[in-house]
Amino acid sequence: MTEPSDVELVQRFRSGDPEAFDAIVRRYQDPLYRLASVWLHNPQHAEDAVQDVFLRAWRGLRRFRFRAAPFTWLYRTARHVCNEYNRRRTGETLDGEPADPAVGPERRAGELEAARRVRQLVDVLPDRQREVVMLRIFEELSVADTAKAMGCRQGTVKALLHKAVRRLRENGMEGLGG
Amino acid sequence: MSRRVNDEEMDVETEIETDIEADIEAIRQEYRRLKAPDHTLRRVHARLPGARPRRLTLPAAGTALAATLAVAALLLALPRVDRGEAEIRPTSLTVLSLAAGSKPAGAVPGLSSVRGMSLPAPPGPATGAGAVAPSPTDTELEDLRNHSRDEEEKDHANS
Repeated sequence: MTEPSDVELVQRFRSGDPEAFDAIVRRYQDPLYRLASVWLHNPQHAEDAVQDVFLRAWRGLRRFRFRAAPFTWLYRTARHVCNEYNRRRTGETLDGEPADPAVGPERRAGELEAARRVRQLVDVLPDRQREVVMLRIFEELSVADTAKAMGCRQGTVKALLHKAVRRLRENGMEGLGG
Repeated sequence: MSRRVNDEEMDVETEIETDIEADIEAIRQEYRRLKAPDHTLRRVHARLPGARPRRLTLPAAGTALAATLAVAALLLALPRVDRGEAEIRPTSLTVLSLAAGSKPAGAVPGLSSVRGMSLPAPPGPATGAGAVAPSPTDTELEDLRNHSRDEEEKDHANS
């Protein structure tokens, strides 16, 4: 049995099926959490931000008009929520945050390291190039989906990705492996 | 012979697969292992508008159960009081006392705060403070007096 598409899930949710909302959360909680971890430098904040995104989705998807893909809506909402978090928490650093007791120390250390390395990689890039690297390379979205999420043409995605890769090469990848 | 290349036609995948591909791939694999906590859905549910309140803690649940038992016992006892049956059986008082955590005498602390009322004191000897209905003994005496008066009147009429 094939998985229902995002559009089908949203339609079911709008028709009053709460299970459809749960399916949307399960499908996108990991990608949104990864993106938020990099944007926010902090697993705990990322966790809170992802919950905020889905709370907004609970309200927003009821009025969804399908002018964009559901993931595009979620991605833009996540970006907006994370920007709000960053504005409120300017200056806070990843390592200075108290640990969440619900998250084991090994897992937390792994999350910190993975987020730190991705962040270190993309921090040298301008915003748009960073975004395209996150979506196209790290989230492995197609060029078309990346373009939808970013609200631009596919050609722009390709151009931004090309420039990003060139810039990464110019900056060298030293230090990112360890 | 040169190949025309512009931004839209550029084969970025080939570009990535050159010198930095291995490094990016290693970071990507590590990055993709990041997972949202297992409790994400549960916490989203808990924060949704109209979400059910959290489960009561044990002390709170015990208090609520005690109040429910006390009210139920009181409601069972009240009709008997209305009918003039003043007696509240010891078992009822025991339930009330246990539920409210007090000894079985007089007003029950805790219950009054629940229903805004206090229990009558259990029927006690001589004081009358706890009487909530006419004494059955007085009623019986009155009946006897009326009966005797009727009998005297009949006797008088017959004679």
